Amino acid sequence: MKQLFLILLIVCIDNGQAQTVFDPIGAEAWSIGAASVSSQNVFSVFNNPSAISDFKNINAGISSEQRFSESKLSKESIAFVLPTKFINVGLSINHFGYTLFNQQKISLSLAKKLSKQFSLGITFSYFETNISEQNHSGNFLGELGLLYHPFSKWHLGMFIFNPTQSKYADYSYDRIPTFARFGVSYDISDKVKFVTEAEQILNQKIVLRGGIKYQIHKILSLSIGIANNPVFLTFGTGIKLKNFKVDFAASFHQVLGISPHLSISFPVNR
Amino acid sequence: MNNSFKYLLIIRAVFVCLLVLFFITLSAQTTRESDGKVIADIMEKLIENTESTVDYTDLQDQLENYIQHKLNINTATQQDFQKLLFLSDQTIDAIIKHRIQFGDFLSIYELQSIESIDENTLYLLTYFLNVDEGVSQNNLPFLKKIAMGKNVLFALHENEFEQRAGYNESLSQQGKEHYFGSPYRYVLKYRFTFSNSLSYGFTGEKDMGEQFFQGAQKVGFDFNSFYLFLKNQYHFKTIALGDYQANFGQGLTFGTGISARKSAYVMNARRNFENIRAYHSLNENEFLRGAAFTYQIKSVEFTGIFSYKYISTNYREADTLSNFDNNFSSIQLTGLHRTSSEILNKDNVLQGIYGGHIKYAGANYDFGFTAVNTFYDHSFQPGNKPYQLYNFNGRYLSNFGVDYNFYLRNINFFGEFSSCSNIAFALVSGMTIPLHQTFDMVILYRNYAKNYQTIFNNPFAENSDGRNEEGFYTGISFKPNALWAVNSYVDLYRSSWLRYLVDAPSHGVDFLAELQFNPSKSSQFYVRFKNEIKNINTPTNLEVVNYLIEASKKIIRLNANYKISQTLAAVSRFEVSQYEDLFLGNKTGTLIFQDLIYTTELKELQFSGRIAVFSIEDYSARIYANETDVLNQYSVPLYQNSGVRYYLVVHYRFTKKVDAWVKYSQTTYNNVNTISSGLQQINGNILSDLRVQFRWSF
Repeated sequence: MKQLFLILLIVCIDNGQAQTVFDPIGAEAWSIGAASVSSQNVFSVFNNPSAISDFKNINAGISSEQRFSESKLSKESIAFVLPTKFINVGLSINHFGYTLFNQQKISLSLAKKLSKQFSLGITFSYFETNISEQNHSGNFLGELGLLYHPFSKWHLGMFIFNPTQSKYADYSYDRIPTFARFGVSYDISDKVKFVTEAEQILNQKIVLRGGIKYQIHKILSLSIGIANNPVFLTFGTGIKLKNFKVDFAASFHQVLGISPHLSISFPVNR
Repeated sequence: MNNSFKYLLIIRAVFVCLLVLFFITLSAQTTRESDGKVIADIMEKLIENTESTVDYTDLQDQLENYIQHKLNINTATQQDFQKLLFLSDQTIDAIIKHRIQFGDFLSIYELQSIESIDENTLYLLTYFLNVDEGVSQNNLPFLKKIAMGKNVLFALHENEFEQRAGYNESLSQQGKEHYFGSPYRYVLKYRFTFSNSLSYGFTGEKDMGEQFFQGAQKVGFDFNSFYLFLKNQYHFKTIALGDYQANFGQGLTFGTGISARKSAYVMNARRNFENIRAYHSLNENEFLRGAAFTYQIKSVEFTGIFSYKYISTNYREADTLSNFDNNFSSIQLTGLHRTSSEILNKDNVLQGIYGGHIKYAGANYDFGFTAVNTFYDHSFQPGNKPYQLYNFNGRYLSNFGVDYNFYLRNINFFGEFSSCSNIAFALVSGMTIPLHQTFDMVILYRNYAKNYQTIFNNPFAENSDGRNEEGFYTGISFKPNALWAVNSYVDLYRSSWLRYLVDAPSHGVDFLAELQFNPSKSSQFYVRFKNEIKNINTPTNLEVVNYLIEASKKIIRLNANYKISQTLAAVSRFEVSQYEDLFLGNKTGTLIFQDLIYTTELKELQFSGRIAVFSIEDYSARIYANETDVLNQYSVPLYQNSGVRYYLVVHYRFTKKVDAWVKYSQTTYNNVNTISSGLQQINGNILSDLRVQFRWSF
């Protein structure tokens, strides 16, 4: 009963607003209010493909979240980045839901640094939705991202999801949401980073996100963030060691409660 | 003394002299504001979020007190500085570091050499700090102190020019409720102060409609208040007799008076109280009457309070037929005793309070324990509506709690954990974190149980009663350079039980962001955006079943504060509010005003005037704006409907010892024919008010 209630609530709340499956991915983003477009990490393959253009090494990451601590609303993501001499390649896959309702996205991203300050990235994805055992739908869609460093401490990111307004399936009437995110991050100092971003999903209220990340020690960081529509408060902590990085974030919704997020990424030194 | 050190001292002295000269020439160009203006500016920011016409004179009195008894910059501790609400921890840190590194300040203008203090703060500090050695005159005989001290006498008259319904003679002929007294308000204040160590005074107030020297007020004023306050006598840090305020820790267990709420001073989430202070304001409820002291032995401080006073309630004797005991269900907070029922309610229940606080204080930490008991001579029975289920009822209540405030590296942790006699808990815990020289942050978590009960408390909270609330507050302040500043806070809160007019558990969000531009000491521009979203009941006449809906109120304010010439200053404001909920729809309001402040070169005469044009669709989109008043009085009118309001305050200094203020204000509405309702109703669309005040210092 509780689960049904939760799902109903999510349908009510999230139908109007952000759809869980398309939300930013990675605990690092979720620790700063889910602001993601102007940050650079392996999960950028989901959030802004251009941001992987700076990678010099192979990098892999896994991420998991459970919305409102409800196992049926869990999302798992795997990201992989392969830098090559000409272009950086990203591969990613994510899964949301459970047996009776689930959604998957498989993507290939390409990112290139066009100048010292400017990078561009594109992603080709296949997105499928399964409702119970009978109803399958799937379609291809495109994503576009860019990253710009206008001054030494400023980073601007832009991400457009599904600009072609693909449908859930060719025969479907419903379109996969189209949205744009624009974000800025500012390095106040070596230790303190301020991030903010705006998201517009077509026909929905604008979503604002922001957060602060504080590198309290060489290996330990603490973060706090906030988002609106719906209002979320997020906290996070990150541990960065030589061979891997672990991030944990918790986001709070005033009515629905806490959602944990966990990400681990491994830079593989060649 | 070694020679090079001597030279250094001389060089420093010369340097400081230059700084002082520089500052004096600067301030000569931009005439120094009156103390009143500085207080008004700070108050404006502090009460930013006020959504009611709460009497903030007590807060104003505190600021005034700090100006009159300036802090000695060379001896003040971190905690002392914290009491100046506008100072950030980083600034305090910088001042103390400078003091440790370079020794005592020779002049407060030496503060200019601290880079991180911006001009505006520096300017404010000149009002609140000095380097006075303050030679202890404590040993003087008592009579000599009285002869050497300063006496100040204030007398205020106020009246409105339009008649309110309650004064209508036909009402008294028909035997209906009416105001017994005259439509005049009188305030008389006398204060004696001798340096910082001895003060006493008397305050008397007759509100409009109350009688004077007759009827229920045979002694004269309806509200009479007296205080005697001693500081630093033997081991006693303070001794208070008569009326006083007491606040401990973060104000969660016990605190009287009114504290600033969430405000544009976004970093100001920590409570920094004086344990005991003299009371000489006009709020007739929020104070204690009796005796209190603070006794200090080395680093341990013990404060004891005792209060015994009659309060106004709706207490009724049970008659033989009724099946209830003698009790009262509400306490009258207005302090007005004008009609027969208000007079019947006057001072009819005894409220006794006794308790204490022990504090152990080190260099940069302190821990405290509070225990306070409250009792009434009759039983308090607040009613049995669902939202009142967890309210205090009965005759006795005990509150106790522990509080802390300490620094770890440069992070300040503060908080309090409290409980009460019905074993419910409340917690507030926060920290201020200087993340970078230019970037400050404060976070605060509070969780006050729905059944936590207090009579007097004053913690950080969205709701004024400090219970049935859980919330998380984050404030950031970013000052990249002297010219610009960004301040912002977000507060998320929820109640696990019903509240008055909120018939289910509810939640809300409060957001403020402000961009400030300070091109010079005397001019400041800011843009402020505020949005509050909370749950309210559906209108009962629309729905069969009542449920909660979301109500959002947004305010955008553009404010400019600037000097036109040496003698003329101005404030311009444009403010738009927008309210929205499902049933009422969209309601907007606009307020535009222009202030001009003219001061003659000799400063014996000052004119402050405002003309405000407002157009507000609905009460829900109402706007508040602080305004200049006669000294010691305070006014934040609520703007609703549409019309024009103007006022003029003239301050004239006859001699060094005698001052006078006159304020005339008038509001003309263009879309209503009656103002207010009930006995307060005025038939007409004009409301005009006159205040005349004299001050005699001797």
